Amino acid sequence: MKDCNWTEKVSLLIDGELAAVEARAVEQHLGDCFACRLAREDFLLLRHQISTYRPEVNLLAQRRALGHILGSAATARPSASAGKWRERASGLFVFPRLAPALVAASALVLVALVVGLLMFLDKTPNEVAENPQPGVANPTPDSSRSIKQDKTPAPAPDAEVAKIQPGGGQGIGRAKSRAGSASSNDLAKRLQPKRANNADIDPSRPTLAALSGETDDLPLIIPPRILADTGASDVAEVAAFVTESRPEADPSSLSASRHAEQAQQLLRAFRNADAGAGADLAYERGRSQALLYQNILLRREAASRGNVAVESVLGSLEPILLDIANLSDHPAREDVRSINERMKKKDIVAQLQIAARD
Amino acid sequence: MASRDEEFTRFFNEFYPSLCRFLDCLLGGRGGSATAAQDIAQETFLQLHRTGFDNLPREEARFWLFRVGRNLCLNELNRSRTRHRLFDQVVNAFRAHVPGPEEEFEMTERKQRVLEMLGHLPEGQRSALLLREQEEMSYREIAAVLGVTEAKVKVDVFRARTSLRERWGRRQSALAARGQAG
Repeated sequence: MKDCNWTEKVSLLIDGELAAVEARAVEQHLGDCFACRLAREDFLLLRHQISTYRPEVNLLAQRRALGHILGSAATARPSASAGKWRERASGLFVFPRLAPALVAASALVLVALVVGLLMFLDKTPNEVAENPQPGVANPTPDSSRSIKQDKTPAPAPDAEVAKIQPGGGQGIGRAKSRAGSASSNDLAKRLQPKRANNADIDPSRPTLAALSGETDDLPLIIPPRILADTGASDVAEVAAFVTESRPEADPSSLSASRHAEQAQQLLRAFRNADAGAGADLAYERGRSQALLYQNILLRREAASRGNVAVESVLGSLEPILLDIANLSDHPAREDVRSINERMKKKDIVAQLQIAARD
Repeated sequence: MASRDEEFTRFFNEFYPSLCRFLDCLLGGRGGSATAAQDIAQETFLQLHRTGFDNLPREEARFWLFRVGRNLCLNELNRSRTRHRLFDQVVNAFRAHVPGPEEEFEMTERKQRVLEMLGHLPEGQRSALLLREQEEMSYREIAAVLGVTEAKVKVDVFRARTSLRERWGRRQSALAARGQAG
């Protein structure tokens, strides 16, 4: 489809960069121009794709980086060039440049030594005499290892825990993937940063410290933005939130009626929140953004299935969601009132109530 | 001193993830870019800590962070391009594995498909769009970070969107055609 000349203004509209008069004109144009409506939907979907991209939140790497910055700043010296070279040289051995390579090389050497030792022990006559195996002519390293392990004392539980993936901790995301089908409570327990007694440690459940291979006592810091987004107060709650909210992340799993119910709740909350100028509507705004993308997808789906009733309700809902999503966190009273009036005029809450029942 | 560090720690914890995300996307979301992004983010915060975090107002420090992080990222991109030019040729010469249609389809279905498309945008457009969509900066703020005029930001954001939209449409059409053929 050929783009309309107003497409650039549509882009400015969704960024909230148009003056009120111009914004109204573009809104009116959107009512008449299908190409511009399509452009607005595509721009919003792209925004959704880009803004919801979250690289793995590696809290441990973050903590390590902060420690490095504060530590190196404390030891920084004014002599510029010497300090620079020293820093560059020492920087080679700072995670994650050469540290993984060094760890891997050390591990290889260690494995080679152990295998060599086992092979050497296999060949010693004493070992064969003490553990005669009539059925096995040439015992494999694995079988001889099991013989050796029988002789050595069992490691302490905390030593077992420390064996699990040293240095492989990658924060919540990686820990979650290891968690498999464990419940959120189990996951939360695993991510507790406190130092538990050895007796409390279940060897099958690696602690965060065990995952990281770290033993220092720096507190685990959760970025305030994550806490604000999730409403959690510690790591366990963040983990629980992530686990619980995951099923909602997939828009395709949402039915139109469930969406209508959620939208109805949002609009009621918005209507009731109109207490005064500068009221905090950050939550309603964020929720509206999330629902807006779902709304576009569901409306398109309804249109492709020929479900005119649902398409019509969602079509009425969309500009209202867009307006709420474009509000500032502390909007002017006039803006809130105008949205409320439009909601009332369209009787959108009642329509949603009916749609939610169907 | 302690309060200065505490203040810096708060600032770091608030903006480190978003700076990493911005840099990761700027590097194109390719394999290994997350690690490189974390390195650059750390270097940026180190510079901020050394060059006067105290003297900057909070909002200005945020702009400074994204401005310097982007510059470091561009340096890294130039270096890695030079470094990997020959290396890529060698790797391609010995590469036996060619992704099949199914594998390619899976790749396109991944979350990173938009990021891959972002990699095709000119750097200025990519930065402007990322700061707008991820950091929710206004055009004036983006202009301050990138050191360009607001008018250029306006044009860049629009061109980036249009270009991504076209590319997205072409990809969807290609997938649909492949689905029908299969």
